[in-house]
Amino acid sequence: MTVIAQLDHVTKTYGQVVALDAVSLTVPAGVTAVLGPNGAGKSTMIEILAGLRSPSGGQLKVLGGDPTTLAIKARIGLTPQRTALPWRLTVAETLDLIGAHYPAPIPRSVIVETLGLGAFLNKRNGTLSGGQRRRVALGAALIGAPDLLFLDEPTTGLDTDSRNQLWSAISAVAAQGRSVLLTTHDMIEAEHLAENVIVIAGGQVAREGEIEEVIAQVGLHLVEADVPEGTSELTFATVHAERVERIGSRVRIYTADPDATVRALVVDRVPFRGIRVDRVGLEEAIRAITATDADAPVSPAVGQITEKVAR
Amino acid sequence: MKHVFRHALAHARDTMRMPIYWIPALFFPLLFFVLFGYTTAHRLSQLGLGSEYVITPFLLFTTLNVTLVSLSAGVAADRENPWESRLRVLPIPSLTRFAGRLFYILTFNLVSWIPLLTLASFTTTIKLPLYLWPAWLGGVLLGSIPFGLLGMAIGYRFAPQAAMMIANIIFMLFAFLGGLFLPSDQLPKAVQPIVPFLPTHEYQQIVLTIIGRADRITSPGWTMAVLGAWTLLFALLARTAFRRDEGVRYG
Repeated sequence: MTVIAQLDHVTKTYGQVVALDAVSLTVPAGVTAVLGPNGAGKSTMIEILAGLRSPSGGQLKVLGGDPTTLAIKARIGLTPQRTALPWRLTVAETLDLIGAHYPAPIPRSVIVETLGLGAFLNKRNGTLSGGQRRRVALGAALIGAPDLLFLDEPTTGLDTDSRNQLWSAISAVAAQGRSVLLTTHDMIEAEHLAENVIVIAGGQVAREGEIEEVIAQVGLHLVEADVPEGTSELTFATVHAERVERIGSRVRIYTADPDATVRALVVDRVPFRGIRVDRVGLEEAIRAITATDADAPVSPAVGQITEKVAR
Repeated sequence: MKHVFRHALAHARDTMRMPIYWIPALFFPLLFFVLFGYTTAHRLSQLGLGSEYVITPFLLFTTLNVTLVSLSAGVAADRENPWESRLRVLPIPSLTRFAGRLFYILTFNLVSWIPLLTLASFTTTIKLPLYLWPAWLGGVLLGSIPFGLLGMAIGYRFAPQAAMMIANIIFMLFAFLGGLFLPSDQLPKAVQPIVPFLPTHEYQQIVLTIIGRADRITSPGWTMAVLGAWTLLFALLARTAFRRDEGVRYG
């Protein structure tokens, strides 16, 4: 396995707040998504790996060296969480300024074509839409031909078209053999782009590994069925559920033991129809991991009834 | 060195596209000269004397304004922009970017003198020999470096609005007490003892010495010592403010 970054007991504190708590992990080459709730320490980890912040303790290596040295900086690219562009420079000027600092930059024309920047190449960054700015920021991160690209929430706030365009561009970058480490709150994005995930909760690594592996480790299944409206919540009190959600007549039961859940529904004579059993997706797996590991309750989604049911 | 020029060029482009910034920077000093200096300069010309003695404080005033106020506001504003994070991961030392900004500011100073010198050249008599012009203008430019360091210290320490206000207050105090508005012997008696200790006064003395019109209150040795001490102090303040900012934002 090719390793792009290694952290050994890396700690970061801001006064009394511990943002990263003795984090040790190995990041493989490829596309890795760093996931976790707000304030979990994702951006801090990216900033430390990109050499923007110093750890309070521990050791780390990025691409085999210290990320604050010029030699390593020449091999990394970054788009910070807030879109970072000089507002009064044009897109072309911005790309040229950044590209000139690297030993073997990607030609500007290639970046323009890959990211579809041609239509607004001579416009000032400040006049662009949010999606266009994100693409320019990605272009500025890419133009140095980095071996490792850090993307901190690259598509937050974008509409579907802009998001899809950016996903295509990131996938194209990965296809060129460059590694990408991205943070996101969008699990669809993580599943679409990443091969591996690192789940951070409370400043610690809660899980890491391939997406399927992490989901399997959680071992949570979803039993979904239609029940008559008005069915009492108490009906589901004995179905071995981690959590139960009701959306109209549809009930969603999250359980570690789906067989036992289905048996309980039958034994309790719950009048269900259209039952479906499946393994949970990444979103539910992350929710389960961070709720357990951070010891924090999961907020119910809007419009849903969520209830923790005792086994 | 090419990266210094690149960053200076980026700052210059940025400024050119912000007329609200560069129009006042170029024309306020001109307006001040027309209102408060032109009559005296013209009278000196009629007496057969060179007007450079009157022009000099206005040049210093312009330069001080750009170097101290504009630089502090620019640095403070840049700190607010996440673009700074992108620049920090470039494979160049931080010093290159600072040098680029300083180079840009010094160049902008040169440009900011054009309206004032053009008006003064056509309407008054500058009697300075041509060979002394580089020393005269070079003195104005190089003498502004300590104020650039102070501008950086303010810019790295305060938020943009506060930086602008603080820099303006310091600028006005230094300009007034240093004798840029009034000759130092016409200042209130209470403040006259501190005048020889002020960097603006000694800055002016250096430039006036070059054109042979120093007021002889202080010796050249004193002037160099005072300016050296202020430069050291402002450099320390800039360094401390920069380190503190790095600690707060990137520590």
